[in-house]
Amino acid sequence: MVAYDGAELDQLRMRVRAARRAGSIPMLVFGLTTLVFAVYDGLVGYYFVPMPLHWPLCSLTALLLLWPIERVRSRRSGIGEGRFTYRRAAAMLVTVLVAGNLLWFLPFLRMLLWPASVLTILALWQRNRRLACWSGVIGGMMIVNWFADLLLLSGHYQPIYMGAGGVALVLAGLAERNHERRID
Amino acid sequence: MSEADRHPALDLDDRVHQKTRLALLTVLDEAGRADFPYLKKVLGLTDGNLGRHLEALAGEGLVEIQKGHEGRRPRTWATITPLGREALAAEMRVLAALLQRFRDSRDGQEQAGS
Repeated sequence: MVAYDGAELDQLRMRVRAARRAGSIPMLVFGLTTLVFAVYDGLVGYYFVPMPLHWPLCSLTALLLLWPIERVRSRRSGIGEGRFTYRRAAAMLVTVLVAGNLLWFLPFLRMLLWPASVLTILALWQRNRRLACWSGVIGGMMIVNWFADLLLLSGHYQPIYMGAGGVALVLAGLAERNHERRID
Repeated sequence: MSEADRHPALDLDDRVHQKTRLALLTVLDEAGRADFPYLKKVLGLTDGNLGRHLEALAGEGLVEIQKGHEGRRPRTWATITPLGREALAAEMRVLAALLQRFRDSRDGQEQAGS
């Protein structure tokens, strides 16, 4: 006898995902980290590391922040960190940065290490469709803006559209948090 | 009976397809691990019921149970194993095949009736 159908199991999975805040927490952390890095880049005119590594470092910082946040959240809620943990994602990003020296010379591939793109790759790995959509759209707009800026405006406005991407991630994270609260 | 004629229901895994165990494995597949109070809450189970099903799954190596303490409070976590993930994925494939077979037969009957 089949007791559950696929839709019921999908709903159950969505409830667990919502209770884990699996969409809102990473969007808020990535958004705020991006905003801090953009403000430093734009207003203070300071890069934490040489420019090509500035945004990959932002992604790594967000992942490293998510690691303890998820541990605390997991201990409080009694729900684990899911199938692909932020610790593993951070380790993989470090491996890519260390082993993938080619990224230094291939500016387009370097964009994949930008915060919203890293979040999209992570979401696809976690099979989290909503997070992948939000971060994919925001990341896509950041990359389009980068191209337009580079071609039309000599690349001076990067901090503005990266900062706007950070704000968009935070706003999307807040919207997702409301959605998760309704499901949970 | 040839392999092609074999009904997918025959491939259902007795260890997994009971509804509470299927739901437990689904929750643990998504969460990685979960503690007893959360599993009880999300699935609406009693202590005894949850414990019995988790023990059955642990006996088959599909989940691992870790009993520990946080401060003075005892806390028990259930974690899905790689074998558990494989068993759940296989079960979902069989359920999908069953559903497809049901739809095909229903569509065939409707076409014959019209």
